[in-house]
Amino acid sequence: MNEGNQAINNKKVILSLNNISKFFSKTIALDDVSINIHEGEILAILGENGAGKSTLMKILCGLFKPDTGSISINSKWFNQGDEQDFVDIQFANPRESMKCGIGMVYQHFQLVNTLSVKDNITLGIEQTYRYTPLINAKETTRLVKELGDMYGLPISPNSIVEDLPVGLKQRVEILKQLYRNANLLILDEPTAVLTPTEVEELFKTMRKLRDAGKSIIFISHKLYEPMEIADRIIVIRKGKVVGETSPSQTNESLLAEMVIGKKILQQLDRKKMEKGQSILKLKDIYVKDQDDKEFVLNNINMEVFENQILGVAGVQGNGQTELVESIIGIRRLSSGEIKFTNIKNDVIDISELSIVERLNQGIGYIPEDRNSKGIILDFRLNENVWLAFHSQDLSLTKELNKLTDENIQDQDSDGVANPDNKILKLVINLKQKIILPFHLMHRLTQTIINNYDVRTPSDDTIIKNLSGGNQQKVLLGREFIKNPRLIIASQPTRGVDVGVMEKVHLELINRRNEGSCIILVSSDLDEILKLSDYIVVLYEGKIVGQGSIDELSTNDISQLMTGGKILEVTI
Amino acid sequence: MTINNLKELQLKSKLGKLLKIPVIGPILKLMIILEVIVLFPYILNIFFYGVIYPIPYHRQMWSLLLSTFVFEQTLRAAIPILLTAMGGTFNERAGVINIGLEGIMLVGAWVGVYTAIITGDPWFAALMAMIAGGILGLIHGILSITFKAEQITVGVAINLFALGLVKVLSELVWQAQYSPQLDPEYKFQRLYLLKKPILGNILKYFTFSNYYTVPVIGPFLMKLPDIVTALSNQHILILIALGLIPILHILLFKTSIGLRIRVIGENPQAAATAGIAVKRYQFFAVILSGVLAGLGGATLSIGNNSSFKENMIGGRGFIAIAALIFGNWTIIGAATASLFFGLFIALNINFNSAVDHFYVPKPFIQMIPYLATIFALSGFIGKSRPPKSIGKPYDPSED
Amino acid sequence: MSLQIDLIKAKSLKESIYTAILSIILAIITILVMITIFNFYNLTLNMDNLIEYGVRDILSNPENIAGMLYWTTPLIFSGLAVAIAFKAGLFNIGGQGQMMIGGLFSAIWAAEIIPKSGINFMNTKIFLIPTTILIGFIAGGIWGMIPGYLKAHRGAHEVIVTIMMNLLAINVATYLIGSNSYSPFLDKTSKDAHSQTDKISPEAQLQPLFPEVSSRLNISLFLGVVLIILIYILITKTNFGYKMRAVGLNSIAAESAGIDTKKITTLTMALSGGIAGLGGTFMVMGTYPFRYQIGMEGTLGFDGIAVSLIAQNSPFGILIAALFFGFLSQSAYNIDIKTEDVPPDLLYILQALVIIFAATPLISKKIISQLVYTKNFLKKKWNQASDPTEEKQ
Repeated sequence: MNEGNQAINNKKVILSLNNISKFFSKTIALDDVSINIHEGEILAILGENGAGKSTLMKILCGLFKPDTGSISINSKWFNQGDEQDFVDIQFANPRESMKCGIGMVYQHFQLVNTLSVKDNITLGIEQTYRYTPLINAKETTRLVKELGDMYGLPISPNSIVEDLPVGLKQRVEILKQLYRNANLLILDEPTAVLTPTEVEELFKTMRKLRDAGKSIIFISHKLYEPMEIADRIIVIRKGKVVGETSPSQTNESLLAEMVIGKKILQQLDRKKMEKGQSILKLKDIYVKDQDDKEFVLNNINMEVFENQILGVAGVQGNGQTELVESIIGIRRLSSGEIKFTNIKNDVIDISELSIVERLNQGIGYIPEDRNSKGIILDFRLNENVWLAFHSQDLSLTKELNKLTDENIQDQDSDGVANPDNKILKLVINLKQKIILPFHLMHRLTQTIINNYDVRTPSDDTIIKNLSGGNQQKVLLGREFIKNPRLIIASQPTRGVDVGVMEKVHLELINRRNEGSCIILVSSDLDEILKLSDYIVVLYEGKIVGQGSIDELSTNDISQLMTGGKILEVTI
Repeated sequence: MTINNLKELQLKSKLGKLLKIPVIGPILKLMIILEVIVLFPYILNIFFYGVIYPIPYHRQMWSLLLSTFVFEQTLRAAIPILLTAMGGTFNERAGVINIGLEGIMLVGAWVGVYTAIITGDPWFAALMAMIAGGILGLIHGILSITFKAEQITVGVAINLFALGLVKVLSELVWQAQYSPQLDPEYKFQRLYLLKKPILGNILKYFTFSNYYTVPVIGPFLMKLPDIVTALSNQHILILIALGLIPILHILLFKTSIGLRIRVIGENPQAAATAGIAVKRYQFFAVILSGVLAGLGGATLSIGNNSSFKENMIGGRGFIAIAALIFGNWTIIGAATASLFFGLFIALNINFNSAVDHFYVPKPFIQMIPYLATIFALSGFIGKSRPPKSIGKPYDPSED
Repeated sequence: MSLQIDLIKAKSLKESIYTAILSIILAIITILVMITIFNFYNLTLNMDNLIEYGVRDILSNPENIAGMLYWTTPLIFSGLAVAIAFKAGLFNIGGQGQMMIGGLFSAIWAAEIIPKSGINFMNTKIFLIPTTILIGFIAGGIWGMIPGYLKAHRGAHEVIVTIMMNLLAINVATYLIGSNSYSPFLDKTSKDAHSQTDKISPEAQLQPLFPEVSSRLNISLFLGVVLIILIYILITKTNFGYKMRAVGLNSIAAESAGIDTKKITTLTMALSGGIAGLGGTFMVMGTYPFRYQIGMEGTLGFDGIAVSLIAQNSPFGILIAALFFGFLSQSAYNIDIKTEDVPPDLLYILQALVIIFAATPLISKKIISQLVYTKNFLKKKWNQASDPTEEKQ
């Protein structure tokens, strides 16, 4: 019990997380975390992605069980009994925490879009006529309206959720919990999807709820928000609590330092290179989302050069995925143009080309979600490698043959025979178009296996049997071996161990030295700082700052990433 | 924008507004649909005969479509499909695809006839048919919900199983692939309510034919199908089925059970986090659909007909699935679409004789509802919006 | 489609064989249980006759073997059609309609169009046989391509569309050969004919291979086996097969890699329909009465789904599964003609049960793990019993 830990402003402690630790197969998600929550306060939990915030909240709301430690509550405050004393409690599932009065508002809404507000709110505890399942629509409407008015969160009960703006959808989620008499509300990254105005509205709401006696835990990775709204701020980094403070005792710069920690940059042997010619130029790019309603990318202008790694920094979800998809061709532009200098040194507008056409111009693509977008888990290694080559004009076979190691022996080759006989030539051409070139695939794959030290029984192994790191190596290998002009690497070291990470970084630097141009998208600021020559920061779909690695300080970048500052856009 | 375009636009928006008025709107929609049904064969007829005078054609077609006789036949043909389609709406709303409805109807039809022959009581026979259907629904549920098998494959298996079962049982019991004819007392007979002593007299006041001689309104009423007469000539299962429409509609859209079912089909996770036992409701839905499909089959065998023949379902189970999709996964929609399909089955009567110079072969007319369904599925007729989480077995560990 | 993906993933050969055999065993056990229940209610089934005529007679009598192969042939085509669609992640329930259309149009070609055209060189074996086969393939292919195109470009769910296409096929057939009053291609040789075409030209008829044994065994069986080999090569060794598998396993990754998923979907369904169409075509060309009759394909389209499922969608497995089902069909036929007291349609039930057990690998897995657990448990007990000095666990 941390009762010794001050009742702040005479507010009593209502819930304690005591020495919570949680392990997942190889990682320590939470390491001896202890937090007190007081009555009537807004507590902000601040940290980067992967710091452990969501894991902590999932334990609190009953989705996970802690491996060590306990949760104790003031049972009277939570209406679980009469004692003022602290009682240890265990939640077996979310339903139990709900009964206790803990209401979780997930980052991804748990709403049914086609139904009305009142249906979503009262789901599971519907207002029915007595002894029948018939819903009393009038009573439901009245109750929901009352609930909204009571907390100053007016909502129209009969609106369909689909039609509501995001801010109101969130309000529905909050009301859902209030309807269930939640006294402790957990808001998981609530501002991720809101416009600035909506954020203001949310903050007003939170203050109202706090003043009505509720306690709120507010999870965020944006620095200025806790400063504005929180009573207390707790910073978590790599599963540990690294700081506890309040807005009056700190500022954004100090917070940034706590969140990201002091950086010791391992200086890679990255020689300074003069940037070469322009390879990719994005001009006035605007991209709308799937429903064609809102812009996910706004006024993007950037240029990437030979011998350069451009790092796109930013917290996941601020437009990076959309940016990458727009360049590759998975997403259509609403307006703007993309000019690309291909392997033959022609400058082409690729905005109208199909995906495969763009890739064949000399682009290597390492998608961020390897398992769903990059590789096909049930294919063999060589089949996965072939994904990058399947559409190549096979007159390139000569080129491909050159790429592979001379040392690999095979019986026949599908080297390009050059018979004089026209019919034979036609047949061979046809064969090349129809039959998979197994020997070529084998050679390519074997080269990749050798050069990138892929641990695998053979090139015929089904790729899902390899470790994540080795899978990533194959993915990287197949893109690199094409010698592309432009490499787009999105979260290339996610889910791999340190050894593999080092290798990948080395390879990227090598490529850059040899003339490739690389766009590196990563939410790991470490990685960006280590590798990039030039950095662009994305926030809410806009470029909020850019500059060379020497011009921008770490602190600048962290603040930009979290919406703290906006720099003058310099090119 | 030229003047023509502007006028077109104004017309379209006026039409749009008209369609939204409560009572007149649906009637207008109905008239437009019927007109399309009339026009399409007209165009086809051009290929088979040539261009014929449109006005006599329209007059004859419309009077055929609106005749009481056709209306009566439409109801009869539609009800088996309607019952199955309404049931199917429930299980699809709950996220479970059941293409085994054809097989369940078949078993329901068989059980209905067999029980009627043995016990002589059509009500008990209908009950047994419903129970048999419910059991098959339960089996589907166990395989697809508990064991998470691929739902479409389970449906195909149930169809084959039902086919075999029914054949084997027919052989064992009747030594043939069809049943003997049922005595009229053992089946659901036509009610002919208008002929009943007191009730008949009361109902007569509501029939249109009572007012034919009234000036002005009379001739108008003569053109419309006499609804009350048509209804009173049916057997009671038809009336019960029609009565079920509002009940099932209320169940699905106005009760907590229905609400939870709909949520499960859209977003089972949201339902689970709200504390709902997802699988329980899915079982309820799939058993209910089995029960209704069983009743639908029985309606065919001991209501519309008096025996069981091995091919008697003839694809109606699949048509029911098409109807529920066409009806956009609502009860009223499924019912309307079923009537639409029933109309075309009823039009099997040779209307080459009812309309002059009409030589379109029957199969072309019969194709229309299937083509319409395909069009609807391809998004050519408005948006086809199935429940979002349909076909995916719910796995709580993926929360 | 979670378990659907399970079915098209690369499974260890051992595992798929175990599952297939176990499904068959479980199905047989269930049937025996059902028979016992029927016997209990005095609806007697003679078990001896069942085994005698259902099993022994089939395997020993060459005429019966030929008959078994006769049933096997269309099942090969039907099963291949379903399997190839599965490889690309598609459910082709339209085998019924595709077989019908294939059989119908090839019959019309070989019975009406060519013989009546008056062009003599066309009415010869060398021209007619390949073209008839081709027409059947194309007709079925079109019937399969339509749902494929609609799925690829308009997102229409192929299951319902193919079911509708099945029903539409019946309408098309009814129009073309169903009735005196309007059908252009109805059999004109007899007044009472209905729902069938004329006999196809003798030049288009496939000759029986062993006329002394049976008139039903012709070259189409071997063409089926050849097709299996060709499909195997297509799937595993060609570019197209590669793209098909990519789309079936992970269409998002395939799309990101630049594969034209829409084209693959459409073409795969077209190929699938064409193969099913061939099944119908060979039925018309290969056996008496050498004409197309509405309904002659029976439930073969749906049976193909069963065959493909048991074979875990592997082309060679389909041969074995088709032989098994062919065996069952001939068994049912034999029982029907040779004895009174066994209902032949138990076959359908058996088929359905096999599908159920094969489609629910969890059941099989559970049973296997239960058996393994029980075996280990008993082993332990046995060891403890024979060696009392061993430490208690």
